[in-house]
Amino acid sequence: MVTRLVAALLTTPLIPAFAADPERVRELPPGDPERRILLDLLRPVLELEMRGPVEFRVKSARTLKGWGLVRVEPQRPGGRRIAMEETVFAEEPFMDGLTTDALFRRQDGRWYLITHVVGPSDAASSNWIFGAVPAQLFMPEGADPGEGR
Amino acid sequence: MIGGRTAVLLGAIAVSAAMSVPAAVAQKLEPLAAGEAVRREVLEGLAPFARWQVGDLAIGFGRTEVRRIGDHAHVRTVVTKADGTPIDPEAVPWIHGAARPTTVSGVLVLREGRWLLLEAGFERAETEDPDAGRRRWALPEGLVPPICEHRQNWGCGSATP
Repeated sequence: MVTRLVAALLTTPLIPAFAADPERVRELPPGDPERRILLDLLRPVLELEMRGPVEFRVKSARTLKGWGLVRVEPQRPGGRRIAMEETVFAEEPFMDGLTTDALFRRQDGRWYLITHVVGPSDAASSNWIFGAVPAQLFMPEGADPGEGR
Repeated sequence: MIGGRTAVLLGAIAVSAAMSVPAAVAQKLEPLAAGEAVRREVLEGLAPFARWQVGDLAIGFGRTEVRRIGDHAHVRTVVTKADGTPIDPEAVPWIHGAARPTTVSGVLVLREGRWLLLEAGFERAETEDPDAGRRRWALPEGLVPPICEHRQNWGCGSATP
């Protein structure tokens, strides 16, 4: 019993923080390895849509139960704002900015980009909540999941 | 008369040009036959999207076309249930209105040995060009198949459907 307890205490600090409690929303701070992985998965498609290199101002990045959700503002390296006219959305009549939401899933130890939307209304990404996607992932930080029920 | 330095420079340019030929060849369209490892890896990159879209149902892939140019691949594949039976799009709320058979098309990019999904979607029954949005991207020319006259454009623009 004591041996098991000691073994548990010794191994606990070695578990990566992101694996510690997959049942709770984990906000991914700057420098977090998972945050970097998710942003790197999103970058190639946004470079095509923004027609050039991008870096991200991250508004939120979070994971829960093997799902990830990020909201970013793409900008050019160095921080220059991207004009709509520079992008593939130049001819789109109903675009409201370039803020981008993206959904990810972790499977077999790897993260995958599932889908993304540029210029979403709040409703757009909430349409992603189906199947195994946990609704809590989409709630603002500190929101009560029971609120409104 | 060409001086020594100029000759060296011209030689370097010639060598450089010769070395760039294989790179140009690698940009040719490669339709990938069933059983090719790259084709399997491309489908692995697409699978989490397809599975999410059908409500986490276990899935399989039926008829599939993968076109590759360099580090980019275009895929078009019929998504089935894991046992190979068709998915009824009207029985899955999130793909209502999808074409039959339920078909996904998408584009992936090769990064550090892994095929990453850029974007994919279930083809809609009423859509004539499922790749319309992707045609605005700066992808290798010829990667996205041309629009065919017939709605189910299997083999369209491909040497080996």
